[in-house]
Amino acid sequence: MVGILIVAHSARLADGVKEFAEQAVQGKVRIAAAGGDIDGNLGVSVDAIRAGLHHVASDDGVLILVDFSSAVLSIEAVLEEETTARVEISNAPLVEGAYLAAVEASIGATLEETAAAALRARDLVKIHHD
Amino acid sequence: MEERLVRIRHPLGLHARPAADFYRKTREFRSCITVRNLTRRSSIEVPVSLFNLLQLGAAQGHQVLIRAEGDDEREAVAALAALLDSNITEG
Repeated sequence: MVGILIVAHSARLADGVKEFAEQAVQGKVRIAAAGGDIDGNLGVSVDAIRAGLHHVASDDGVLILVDFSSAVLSIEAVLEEETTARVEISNAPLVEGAYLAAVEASIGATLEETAAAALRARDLVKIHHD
Repeated sequence: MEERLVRIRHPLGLHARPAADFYRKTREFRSCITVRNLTRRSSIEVPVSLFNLLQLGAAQGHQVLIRAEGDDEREAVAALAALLDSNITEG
């Protein structure tokens, strides 16, 4: 089953997104949160990203959701050392993307299908006018 | 083809968790399943996906049409209608 890694600049933000996505899949999917820098401040930590990636790694791959693009450099630094795992970084918005990805992964979707489901979050309409 | 009209009873409508449960349940059947919110004029019949379920904008009191076509269409519609009914009464 595809694993999900949440990378955000705040530990509480990453943990909250993980909590929300986990509730939707009732623990069926491995989800890890890597939020904040190593001192617990706002930022991202290469060590936390590496640990999270190891925690959710599987043969089916890992989809990484990020809050802002400045996290991507740190993720890429980790991925340069990790050549074995199939990993994709998603362009989806964090909360909605993590939720859609987790549910898709929970039904046994491939990494490509999970990534596509997450990307749909970019078009999600929240206010209906009829 | 089998279909059933279900009225959404929960005050929050078809929200994140029941939508996810509903979507997962659809994957237990081989039939082609579609949904439509009859209460919204803009809603059209769409293949079931989690994204499409959220886009139904199914609020309390709305009527959602579930359709299935395939060799297990009766079981699919019965199970999905029952799930929607029970989920929507929970918190």
